[in-house]
Amino acid sequence: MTTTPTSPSDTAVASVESGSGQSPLLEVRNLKMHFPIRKGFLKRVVGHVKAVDDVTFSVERGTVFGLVGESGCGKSTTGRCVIRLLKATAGEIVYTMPDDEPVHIEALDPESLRIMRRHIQIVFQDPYASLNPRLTLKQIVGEPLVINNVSQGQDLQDRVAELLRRVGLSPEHMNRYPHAFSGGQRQRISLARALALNPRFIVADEPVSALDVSVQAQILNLIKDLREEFGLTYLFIAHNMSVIKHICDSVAVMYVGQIVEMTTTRQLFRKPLHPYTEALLEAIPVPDPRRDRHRIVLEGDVPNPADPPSGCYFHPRCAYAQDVCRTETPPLAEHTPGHLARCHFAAELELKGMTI
Amino acid sequence: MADRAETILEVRNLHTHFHTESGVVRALEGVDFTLNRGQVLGVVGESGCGKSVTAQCIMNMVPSRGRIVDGSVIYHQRNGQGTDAVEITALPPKSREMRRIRGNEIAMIFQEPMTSLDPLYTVGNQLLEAINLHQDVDRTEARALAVHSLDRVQLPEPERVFASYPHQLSGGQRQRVMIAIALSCNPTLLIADEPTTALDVTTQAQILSLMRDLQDETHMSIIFITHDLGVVAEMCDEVAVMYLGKVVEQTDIDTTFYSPRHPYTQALLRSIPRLDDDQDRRLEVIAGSVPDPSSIPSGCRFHPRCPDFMTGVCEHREPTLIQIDEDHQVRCHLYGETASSQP
Ligand SMILES: Nc1ncnc2c1ncn2[C@@H]1O[C@H](COP(=O)(O)OP(=O)(O)O)[C@@H](O)[C@H]1O
Ligand SMILES: Nc1ncnc2c1ncn2[C@@H]1O[C@H](COP(=O)(O)OP(=O)(O)O)[C@@H](O)[C@H]1O
Ligand code: SF4
Ligand code: SF4
Ligand SMILES: [Mg+2]
Ligand SMILES: [Mg+2]
Repeated sequence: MTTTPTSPSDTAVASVESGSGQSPLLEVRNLKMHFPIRKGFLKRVVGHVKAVDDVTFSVERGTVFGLVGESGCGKSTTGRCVIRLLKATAGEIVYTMPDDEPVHIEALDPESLRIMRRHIQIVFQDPYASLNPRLTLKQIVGEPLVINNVSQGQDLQDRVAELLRRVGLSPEHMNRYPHAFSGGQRQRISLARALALNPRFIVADEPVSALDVSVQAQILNLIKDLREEFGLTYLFIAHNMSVIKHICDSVAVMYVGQIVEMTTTRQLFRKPLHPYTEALLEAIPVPDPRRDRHRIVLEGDVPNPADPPSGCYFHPRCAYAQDVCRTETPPLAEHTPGHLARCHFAAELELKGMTI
Repeated sequence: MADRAETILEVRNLHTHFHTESGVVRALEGVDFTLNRGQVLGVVGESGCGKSVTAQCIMNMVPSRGRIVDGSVIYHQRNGQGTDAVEITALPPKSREMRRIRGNEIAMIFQEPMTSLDPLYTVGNQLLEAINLHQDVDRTEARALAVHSLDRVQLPEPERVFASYPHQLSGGQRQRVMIAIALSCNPTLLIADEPTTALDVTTQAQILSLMRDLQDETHMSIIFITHDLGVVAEMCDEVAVMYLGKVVEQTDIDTTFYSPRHPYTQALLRSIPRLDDDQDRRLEVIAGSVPDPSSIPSGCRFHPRCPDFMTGVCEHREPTLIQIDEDHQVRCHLYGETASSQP
């Protein structure tokens, strides 16, 4: 190997400092979320699901940071820890306030957390399950404003109308119920609600995964537009690389609770360093019938994080695995400035990328 | 493989309506397509355009509130020398003949394998049930067939899977089990209704590769339903594009992608987020969204979203499906005069 492995936290700090000079909006350091596995009548803890295991990354202001990987890799758990829907087992989550004051989200008391929630919002994957069917659009979108005593009466009405307009919905539909809307329109409603309190940071957990391909494009464009207009920063979760490509500035690829590769989107697509990244790129269906249909398919499933494989977690599925991969765990190492990969052979392998 | 194109299924002018508390839902209002033996036909369109209802009609399994009000589905069944045309839509859904076709000729797999597998029974139990229904075999033979069918869908450790409950399997493994069950009766035609839509892209690639292998091996005909043209390009020989209950274009796969004629097909193609285009390009979209089937636009139902809309024509007259080439039908006023006119 040609590069010296460094510990994940060192490299993350390094990549931050080579950035804009301003502190990032969000820094996640050595985040761990280990769910206890309980068995038997006494509910004794017999092991842990290491859903997130030592994850470190930072999100620069005004950018979209992507988390990508197959189901079960720990993306949603990471997102939920960041906004404290889950209390992490260990690690730091540092958010920079508008006055540049750093706040440790993992240590906030309930009252401070409530105030914090104005800055940070989440949008979920399933636009059918995440909207209360018994509330009108006005109630759904206006709820955060009412709960936080920001607005009421005519002002509330006006603000909801404006929010609906912003996400491309007609304010005339304010008194309708969510069932009258398609998947894409519901995701617009979710976004309008998320924007109600003027957040600075949005965790978007697979916001387009449940939508028709043709509707995905509309929502991705909207997310981009909102970023420009409101100076938003996003943590964007997806399992599909083509979606990541159109929206993210930088990306972390996750596998069994760990980051296996992290860099800018352009670099990740042009020169992937981890075989798992290459496999995710290969898996995207290509809308061209003249292309050869028979290609390498990543076999098997994501291992259970309660009982991960030895050595490199990816070795049972990796096309390039050697003996050392079965026994030695590769570190997350910086191979070129700002490009990290967790593979023994990252420097040697010539993986297939693409020009974007 | 197939020397001459031989039709296996014809769907003609199919109209299916649902009677609900809030009125009549005109789910299908003119579905036409033809499937040749040994081919994979993609049926594409956005959610709500009637893909699943079309599949239900072919299986003659329309839910009780629904009625086929016009049109037909004709299945060409092989007998020793030639084929018999069976009008599926004329058979009572519960008739013996229909049950035989559903069991021995046409099988179906669905989007969400979890809801179509019974959580209370092992995979083995459910496979054995399917096998015993269609084949006259004793217990040992049936078990051997079941394990073999799991092996055939490339499940590792088929014996272990045989003894597993559905929740012990991953989404991809469950979909493989569904395929094994569907194939246990050696169907001539397989209808796959969005079989990969609920899966990760990696698992989707696995299932598509499996289905291609099985199709190469058995030469079965497949109707592959999806909203994703990327998946269509990977799987299909022919494509029927649906919009709001109508087929608006049918042609071969290459023409669909390289010279599509219907403005809706063209718009669908432009809206795919592609891996190989410029990262900074703004994604193109189809304006608006699919209207509710209770408020179908006049004339051409795509007209409010159509970039090629011709004022004075498209909003008044409904286009018919016209043949513009040997294997190419389009429902659009841009391609010639149409006889029908809507009041
Ligand atoms: N509350 C929980 N208790 C136990 N295990 C959990 C819990 N939530 C998630 N997990 C497990 O953690 C892993 C990561 O899950 P998740 O973060 O949802 O992954 P992703 O979003 O990448 O699909 C999975 O194995 C999942 O089963
Ligand atoms: N059982 C039913 N009762 C009433 N309406 C239905 C029923 N099934 C489908 N529909 C309606 O028929 C239309 C077509 O539905 P469907 O075939 O499921 O679309 P797709 O599979 O293309 O998403 C939709 O408007 C849907 O709401
Ligand atoms: S360390 Fe070995 S098994 Fe792991 S990704 Fe690299 S080559 Fe593959
Ligand atoms: S008939 Fe008119 S509105 Fe309809 S698709 Fe053709 S050009 Fe567009
Ligand atoms: Mg998730
Ligand atoms: Mg459907």
